[in-house]
Amino acid sequence: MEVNSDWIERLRKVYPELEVLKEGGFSYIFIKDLILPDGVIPEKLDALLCIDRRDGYDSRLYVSEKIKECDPSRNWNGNIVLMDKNWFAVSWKTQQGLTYIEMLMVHLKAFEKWEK
Amino acid sequence: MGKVIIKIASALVNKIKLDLSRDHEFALERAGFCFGKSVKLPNGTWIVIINEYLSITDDNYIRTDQACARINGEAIRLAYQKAFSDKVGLFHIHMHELTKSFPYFSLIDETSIPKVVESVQSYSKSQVHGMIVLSQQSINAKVLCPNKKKLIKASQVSIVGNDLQLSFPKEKLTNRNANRYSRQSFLGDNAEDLISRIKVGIVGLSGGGSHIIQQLAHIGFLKYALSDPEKIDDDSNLNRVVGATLEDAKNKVLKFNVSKKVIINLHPKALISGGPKKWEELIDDFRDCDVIFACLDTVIGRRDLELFCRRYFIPLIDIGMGIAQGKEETIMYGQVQVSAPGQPCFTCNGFLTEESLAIEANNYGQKTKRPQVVWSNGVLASTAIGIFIEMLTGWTGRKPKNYYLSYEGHEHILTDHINKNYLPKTCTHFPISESGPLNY
Repeated sequence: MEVNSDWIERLRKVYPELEVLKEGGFSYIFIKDLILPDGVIPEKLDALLCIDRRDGYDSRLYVSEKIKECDPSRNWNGNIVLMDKNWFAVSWKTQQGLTYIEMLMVHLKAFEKWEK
Repeated sequence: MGKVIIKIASALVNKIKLDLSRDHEFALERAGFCFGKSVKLPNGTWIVIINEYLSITDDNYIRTDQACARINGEAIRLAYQKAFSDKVGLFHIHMHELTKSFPYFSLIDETSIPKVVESVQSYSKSQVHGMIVLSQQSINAKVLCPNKKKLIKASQVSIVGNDLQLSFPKEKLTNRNANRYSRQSFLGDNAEDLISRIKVGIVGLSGGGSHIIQQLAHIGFLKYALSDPEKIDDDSNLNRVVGATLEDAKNKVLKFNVSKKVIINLHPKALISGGPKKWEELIDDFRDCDVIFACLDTVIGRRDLELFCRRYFIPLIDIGMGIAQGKEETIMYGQVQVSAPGQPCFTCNGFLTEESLAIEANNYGQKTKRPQVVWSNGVLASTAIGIFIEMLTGWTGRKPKNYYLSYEGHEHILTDHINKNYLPKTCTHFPISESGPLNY
């Protein structure tokens, strides 16, 4: 799918140093030091947002390490090698037609602090 | 100083040769610039992936009596600018068209080109730069590593595509002719030495992988990266894991150790890296492989390994099999396929589809004991090894080709897959320019 440059620019206002990367026919947005929801560990980490449909997911957020203090029932997939680096991801679906900022916001909901 | 391995796709080499062999109004030969990305592995080895080429326009050549070609400052400035802005390594490249075998740098090459290469280091400090010379059938390179002052000979230069053309500028191949390999001397004069220097990766050491290991060891390969986290956990493994014994099943021996034992029994000094883990946890051990065999159970696993191999210009040879119950008969099916830089990938040939990947992703974590037998794995593994040895040595003398073979085990047939008739000429999923290590 073509990368929507307007949506990239909108996301760039929040993350000025983001990079658009391609691998194997898929497009990704690399975000250095993505800020995570309050109360989880770590506070920020590197992330890779796949903006194309992949493995049955309309979009997917890969993070550089497993996040602690979020819902413990999250189904973590570990050690996925993408863009020459190891990533982790949870099984989390987003709906179609979201802008990249909206996609990211929906994914971050998966990592909100778990209140027992 | 560790090894420096340069890799370049044969599709890009062909493009460069076409450009360099064009006539010029007064220059007797042409030059150009290649760009590459490099990474240093924990073992000290530098891997350089050359993935772009910049042609020098006719008006950037200067008349001279002292060399076959001289380029002006504008051509060099353009190349420096790209190396600086893209944070990549710069390689001066030219061709000795009349030389057939290994090309040496001329005295003029040795005195003039290093100055161009050494100056770029101040613009792009973290990358390996260098100079390359091509001949009709071979390649030579010198490299300048970060924080070094002098160019040195590259340890290995690999032209990778449907075949592997390997050159060793630092230590040339020799004709060894040991009696142990006399029955396979038809592979070529230097084949034995070549085989002993190649690093092979095997991901999955069970039904298919154990055959691959056994054959590679017999052929004489000495450098391996192996990955499999599983154990011979019950005697149901013994129907297909070559080299595993009753004792191994009783002691729940790691499949990695079974493979290691098979290799060491034939080559006590073999270098074996990797370990009893998933390959994703061992990527530094696999980055400097010259080929990787995929002997995996899942479609997603193959897809992920292909992404990695394409980035590092490592040919990936995949084997797999399954059994399906038809209405009236039981069907045994399988494949042998090769994914190499610049060539059709597993998506191009229709093996990987979004549908098959999505189905498997939905079943994540559900493990089933799929039917597997030793003889079909043997057929597929032997075929994969045969393809690889042809890619490496070119012993058949045939033109290199892309392989996607379909196995019908119930009919004892292995043929070209029907999708081969519809393959695209170039792969759009893995452009050569998108390959190479990434520095985050």
